[in-house]
Amino acid sequence: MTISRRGVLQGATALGAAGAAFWGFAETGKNFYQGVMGTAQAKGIAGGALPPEYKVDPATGEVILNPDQRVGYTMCMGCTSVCGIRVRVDKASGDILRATGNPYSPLSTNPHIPYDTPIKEAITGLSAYGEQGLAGRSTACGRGNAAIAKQNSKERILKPMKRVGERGSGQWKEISWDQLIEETVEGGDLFGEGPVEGLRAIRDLKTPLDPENPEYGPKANQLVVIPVFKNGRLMMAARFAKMAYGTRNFVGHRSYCGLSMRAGYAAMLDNLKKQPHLKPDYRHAKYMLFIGTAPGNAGNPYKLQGTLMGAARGRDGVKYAVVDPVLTNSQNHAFGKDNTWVPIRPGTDGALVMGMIRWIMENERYDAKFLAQPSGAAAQTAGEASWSNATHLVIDDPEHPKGGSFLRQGMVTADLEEDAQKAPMCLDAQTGELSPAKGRPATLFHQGTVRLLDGSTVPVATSLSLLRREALRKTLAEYSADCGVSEERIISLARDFTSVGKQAAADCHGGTMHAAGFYTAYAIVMLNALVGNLNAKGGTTAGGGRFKDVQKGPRYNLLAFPGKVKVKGVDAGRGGFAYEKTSEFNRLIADGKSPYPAQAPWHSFTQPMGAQWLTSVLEGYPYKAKAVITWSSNPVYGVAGMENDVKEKIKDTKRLPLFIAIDPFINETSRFADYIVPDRVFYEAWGWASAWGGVPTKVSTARWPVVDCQTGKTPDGRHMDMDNFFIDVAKRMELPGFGEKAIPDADGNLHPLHRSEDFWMRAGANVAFDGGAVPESDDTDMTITGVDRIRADLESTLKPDEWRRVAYVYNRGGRYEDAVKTYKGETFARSYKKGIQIWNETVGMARNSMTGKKFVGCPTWQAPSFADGTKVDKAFPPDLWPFRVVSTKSQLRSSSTGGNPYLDDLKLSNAIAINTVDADQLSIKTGDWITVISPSNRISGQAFVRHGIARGAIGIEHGYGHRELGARTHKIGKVILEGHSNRGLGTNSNDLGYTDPTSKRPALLADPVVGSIARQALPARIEKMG
Amino acid sequence: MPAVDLMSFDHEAVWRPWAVAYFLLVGTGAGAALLLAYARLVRIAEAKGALIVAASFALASGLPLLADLHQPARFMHFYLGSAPGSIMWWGSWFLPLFIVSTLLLAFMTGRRGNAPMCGGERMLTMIVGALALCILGYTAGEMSVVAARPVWNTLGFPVVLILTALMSGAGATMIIDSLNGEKGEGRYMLVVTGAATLVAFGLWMLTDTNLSTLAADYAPVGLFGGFIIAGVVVPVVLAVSAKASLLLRGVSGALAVFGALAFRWSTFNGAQLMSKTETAFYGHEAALSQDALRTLAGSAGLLILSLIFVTLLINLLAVRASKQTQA
Amino acid sequence: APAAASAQAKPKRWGMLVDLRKCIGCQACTVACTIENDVPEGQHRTAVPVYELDGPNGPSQAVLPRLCNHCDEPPCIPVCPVNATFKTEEGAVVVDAEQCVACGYCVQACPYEARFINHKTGVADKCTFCVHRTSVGLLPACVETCVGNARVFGDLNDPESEIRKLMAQHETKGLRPEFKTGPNVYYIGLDDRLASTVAVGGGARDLRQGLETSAHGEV
Ligand SMILES: Nc1nc2c(c(=O)[nH]1)N[C@H]1C(S)=C(S)[C@@H](COP(=O)(O)OP(=O)(O)OC[C@H]3O[C@@H](n4cnc5c(=O)[nH]c(N)nc54)[C@H](O)[C@@H]3O)O[C@H]1N2
Ligand SMILES: Nc1nc2c(c(=O)[nH]1)N[C@H]1C(S)=C(S)[C@@H](COP(=O)(O)OP(=O)(O)OC[C@H]3O[C@@H](n4cnc5c(=O)[nH]c(N)nc54)[C@H](O)[C@@H]3O)O[C@H]1N2
Ligand code: SF4
Ligand code: SF4
Ligand code: SF4
Ligand code: SF4
Ligand code: SF4
Ligand SMILES: [Mo]
Repeated sequence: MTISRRGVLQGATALGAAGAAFWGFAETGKNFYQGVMGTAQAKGIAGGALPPEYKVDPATGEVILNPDQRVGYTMCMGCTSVCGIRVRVDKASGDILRATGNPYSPLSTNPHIPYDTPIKEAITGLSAYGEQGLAGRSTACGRGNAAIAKQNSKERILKPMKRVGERGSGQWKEISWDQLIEETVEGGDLFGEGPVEGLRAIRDLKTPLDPENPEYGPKANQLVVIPVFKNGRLMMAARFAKMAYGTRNFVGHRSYCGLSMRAGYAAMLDNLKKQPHLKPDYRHAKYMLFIGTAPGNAGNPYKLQGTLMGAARGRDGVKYAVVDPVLTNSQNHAFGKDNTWVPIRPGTDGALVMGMIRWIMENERYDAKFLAQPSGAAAQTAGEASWSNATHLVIDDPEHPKGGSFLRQGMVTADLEEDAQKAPMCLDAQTGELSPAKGRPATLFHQGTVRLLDGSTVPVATSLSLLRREALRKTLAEYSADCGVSEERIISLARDFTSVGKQAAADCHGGTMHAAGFYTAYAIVMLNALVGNLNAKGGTTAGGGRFKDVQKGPRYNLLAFPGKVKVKGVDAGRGGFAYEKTSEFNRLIADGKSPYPAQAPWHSFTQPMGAQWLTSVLEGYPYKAKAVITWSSNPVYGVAGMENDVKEKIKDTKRLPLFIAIDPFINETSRFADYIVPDRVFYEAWGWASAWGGVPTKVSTARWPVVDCQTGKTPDGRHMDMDNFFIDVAKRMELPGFGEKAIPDADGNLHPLHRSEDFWMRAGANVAFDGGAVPESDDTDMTITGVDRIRADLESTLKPDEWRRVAYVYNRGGRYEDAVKTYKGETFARSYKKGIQIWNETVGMARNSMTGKKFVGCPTWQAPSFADGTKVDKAFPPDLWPFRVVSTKSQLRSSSTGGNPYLDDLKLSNAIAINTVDADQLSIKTGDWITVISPSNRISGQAFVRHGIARGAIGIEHGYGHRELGARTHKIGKVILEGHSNRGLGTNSNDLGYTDPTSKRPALLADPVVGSIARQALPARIEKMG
Repeated sequence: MPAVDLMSFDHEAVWRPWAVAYFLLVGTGAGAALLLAYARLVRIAEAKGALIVAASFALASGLPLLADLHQPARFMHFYLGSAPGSIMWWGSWFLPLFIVSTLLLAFMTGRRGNAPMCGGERMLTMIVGALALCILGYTAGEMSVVAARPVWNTLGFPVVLILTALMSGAGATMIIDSLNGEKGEGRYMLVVTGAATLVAFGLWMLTDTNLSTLAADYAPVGLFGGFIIAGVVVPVVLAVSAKASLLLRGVSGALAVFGALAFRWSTFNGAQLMSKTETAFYGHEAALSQDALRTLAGSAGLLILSLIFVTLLINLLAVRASKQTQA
Repeated sequence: APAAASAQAKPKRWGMLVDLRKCIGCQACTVACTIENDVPEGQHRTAVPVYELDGPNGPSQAVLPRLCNHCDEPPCIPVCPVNATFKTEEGAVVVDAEQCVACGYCVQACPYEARFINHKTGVADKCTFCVHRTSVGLLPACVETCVGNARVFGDLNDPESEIRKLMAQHETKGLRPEFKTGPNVYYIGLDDRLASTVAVGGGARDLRQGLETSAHGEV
């Protein structure tokens, strides 16, 4: 047979064609093969749906459980709202299938079901049976649903790690638990870089850490512990750090969360120590004003406020306004004209609100009857739900030694009992006579003089007069010019707010975290005082509190133990300590030098300033730290300006010899650690949490491991976590309060503390017995909720009459007071008793540590300023720095949910929002890459041009721009923990933060009065990228 | 002010480039089959080129169709029940019949060698022609009934789809004929259908804002440059002016096929880029995506194999037939 | 037969109502549906687009939870060449995963972009009104976890059902009325600008497109 040339050509073509066809159809071939050989990926009509966790008989409502799954109730930490959730688990794999709300929890259900509802009935109540599940629905938000991915995340740290090479280099080795405890306690030449003092050596409770400045306290203060927020586990860390180890440097994240708001409320609510705060009564308010808080978009508790906002929009006669540079989902188009967005120039709400107060004063729209009651007794007689010091007289002379304080009876009348001496004075409304505040109304406005016992005459004024004076300092036109909101708008807001009696409420939060934060917040919350809404139905509430857990309770006292240390000394962030009390101040006085300005700001009546700790201990003012422990906190990511300031210094082991991080993940802070201690994610952890606010009844949310903990085990078989780390360190150091005989019960017997369960289950016993014991759980309920998995521990840890009651509480994911207990008539059943401070004496007598000037004791308008009072706008004038950056919380993320696949799927990056008019002037379009330049730094991202942002504002959604949490590659021994660059997309506005230029020693820009970190209203300009 | 999407969600085009390949192949096959029927029954010509095109394009069309099913192994489901309400179901019957009948016709033609056509073959030619009409009808109908795709759901779309199929059938025939050194039957049909395409497309464009949106925003190059200019105007002009040159006839034919491809590419992918509920972004079906390349390679390879197979079939049978008559 | 008896005998007909005033755009429904129904990354049976619209007082945020409308005249059903998709007795439009050849024809035919070829199962997928839950006395996952309590699910044949009562009290609208599909998902507070094809631009979608082209900062 001959082969023709044509044949060869054809053959070659055919071969080539066959090759191409083969490549082209390979996928089809695969699909075909799978279709024939494989089983169908989905069967029936439900697609890939999960098998239901139970069935409910449509006729009877009877629950038929799915034996392959269980549903347990615990606490969510997809953000800080700590909602009660129900977690559905596949028994065979132990994997979490889905999470949504706990119907017993008022944070997840509106209204929540009565606490004694049987477990099965609760399930029926969630179902379609009789449509009960519609009204009874109990939810988790998008993040709460998505957070289940955390538990199995590939990025989790499960074994202790020690750095190899430089801090922050991303190179680690795994070490044993024993080595971890030994090295961190005993120190030594841990990294081949020279000796490092261990925790044992640092704990010296006698020797002052700085003999020159003995008030700084003992050396033990040089351990600085930066923990998580009140997530239900905090008290174990507090027990270790404060009560046993004895450092005063232990505080949550408030100074970079919402300190302005908390301090503003605290000043008004007369409790600067505990800083309680109020929430609007969303259920009955007729008018709500949100200034710098975004309920439904963020806010605490996020989900409940979202639900209540939804419900409010479904009611008749409800109106609200949101003042915010950024339009968010707090505003709702379908609700129409009854909710307005009021764009404002960042950082200038103080002007808006003082303008409102001016109008309210001038038009006498305040609740005069309420304000006239000078005491609780008077309020009761008058039928008011709260009272204020509006009528109390203040010594109105800042130069007077008592300037800013109240005029007290002891100053004008001699020979009084101690109590009577303290009584504040006012003018009786009827007689006009100077008299102590008692059970009768007093005069609202008065300015005059009073003769003191020593014969001197001092000017005095009522609190309300002083507030009016501050409000009248500027005209409405001036206020309007300062904040960029028209006079008409200011008036209409004030009119609306004062048109519905006590059914109006104002609230604020994250939007006040700027360099005018305190007075802004104080002014906003003061609006509530002007309508007298505290404790009123439809007004505001301080919340229902919690059942006793760790504090001295009916069964145990987990806060007291033999040998408990009382901490002493100055906070490393210079918070809560008056500069005037320092040795430094006295030395300067003694040397005849001016003590002002201080080297860096001190804030006398605020809380410890955790946000400044890293900055100040790395600088060494007031003092250096020898060891830092962070736990589930991430200040380097979350504090504006922190990373810029510390990222190099923190690598210097001379500045900071030892750095231990406890965290299930590597975050932007723990990346620099010497050791990382693995920790539980929240589904696996123990603890007791409560609501931040917004829940008018008692709430105690249980955390217990509804799934098995994934971390490695200690040699004696406990899971590695925060609790056990602190327990083992304490035991090795023989600290009080740990080991045998650590926890006293109500009878004074001491019980051991060797593991997490020893502590948290006993706290559970307190919860179960507080205010009357709950019933005992039967075995069936425990099986349904999976509490049977911890039954052996309950039985062996608790007393016979306790454990089944605690199981009853775990079965329900906590203990919750019934919703019917919310109101008593027209007021809240749980009311706030202290008086409202129109003028706060502590504030009014404190001095600015940089200028020595006294602060104003009532709300006033001060533009964002540096610590020494210089206006930010003066140092960074708007013609050169035309923009002010604000940060808005993402609805789809919290700061710690970076890298969640479900959330990333919705939105992978943020953008830099600017107003359409501003963008036009800069020729910027949506999607253009731009650079934002602040005094300290520059960041680049995509521009997002919208109408929904105020002119002159730059809006950056928070939660993006991570550098860790899965964004960066780490090496652990030979194992590579792969980083994904798309996890780090977007920008973090905190990169634009900066240190206060008026402070000699580095201090992050903060509110000059209370020191809350300024993450808002940062000056900036924009450049378009080429 | 248009709405600004603060949150939006992407969808992907469900019909992948395989659909374009299928519609091109089967449309060209059907166009050629009609040309064949017309040539044989009216003009009494052999029209071997048209036969080769009809049979091989039909043969090659099956696999890409299967490939556009994400569950190709389940193709039997089409035949295990009946869904007369679904045009696609009708298509599932037309297509195999069309493929088998064209192959059979090629077989008969090859086996008869140079002998004159018998009644059976004439009958089969008529059937092939009728099935080609069914194919054109069903493909155009299947898409134009989709109300949710306004670009398809018009009068213009099925008309142009059919006209370009005819054009492409004629064009492919011209390529084969020129390769075989023949003038063949395609030129006239190409010119007629090309001119009609221009008119139809023009009218459509004028009357349908959706098409203008598509043409302006989603597929400007494909529709204007690729389809109208390179795919219709140039081949028609070439075909009219270059009566004698086989090369130019071939080029004209090739461009006509390209035109049909460009039209399908633009209207299939383009229309899928146009969102139904909001102007969605459907994760680009870029012209040079992996998907598109695989489709191109797979379909072209398969088509060449089919061409070789059909040509060999006809030729080998013809050789055998001539040997038999010689014997 | 007496009216009451016949009403009782009437089978259930599922429907959903979304009170847009109550929706906060939290995407709990989106994520819950994804998890409950194992919907692959990048695909959604339900999602809540958020738009910035012109409102009476300037720009305004509009949310629009979207899902299959379980139409009375569903254009997706007749086109199916293998009868794989159909309406259940309770009115849910579903796909038989073992019958579907994944031709995508129904995906084309649905005017609401409610369908897709599921990357994991390889067949047509869509909201099933959580048939696996609703058929055993439970509520759909998205309804169970709706933070705003905006989603209401129930029996349209029962005049006493919550959904019917709300429909009686409020004006409700369905999406894309021009298609006459008889949608069974109703909205309170739907702006006409969102009812059909929404003219959008200059937002998240443009940002996503641009995201791929430029690198981000140091990690
Ligand atoms: N979605 C979501 N919810 C959350 C969290 C989360 O991470 N994500 N975290 C929880 C936590 S920890 C907290 S503390 C709360 C905080 O809850 P919020 O205080 O409600 O939230 P923020 O986003 O911090 O700030 C509120 C608003 O202030 C605005 N703002 C910024 N600067 C200014 C200004 O100068 N003036 C005015 N008027 N407004 C301004 C921002 O645009 C933002 O919309 O949210 C909790 N809820
Ligand atoms: N620009 C800007 N900055 C802000 C804010 C803002 O809105 N804008 N918000 C501020 C506010 S309000 C706050 S409260 C702070 C929050 O800031 P931080 O209090 O510092 O805390 P997070 O960053 O939320 O989370 C801390 C770490 O907890 C770890 N973690 C996550 N899940 C778990 C778990 O299940 N178990 C354990 N043990 N650990 C876990 C993670 O590693 C995470 O990095 O940020 C503030 N910073
Ligand atoms: S609000 Fe926060 S805590 Fe509550 S469910 Fe959502 S993520 Fe979880
Ligand atoms: S919305 Fe689409 S998928 Fe759902 S029934 Fe209607 S046409 Fe079919
Ligand atoms: S994709 Fe499946 S359900 Fe849809 S039309 Fe095709 S076969 Fe029918
Ligand atoms: S009903 Fe079920 S399938 Fe449909 S959108 Fe809701 S969760 Fe998803
Ligand atoms: S869960 Fe409810 S409130 Fe949240 S986005 Fe979905 S529909 Fe809206
Ligand atoms: Mo916070």
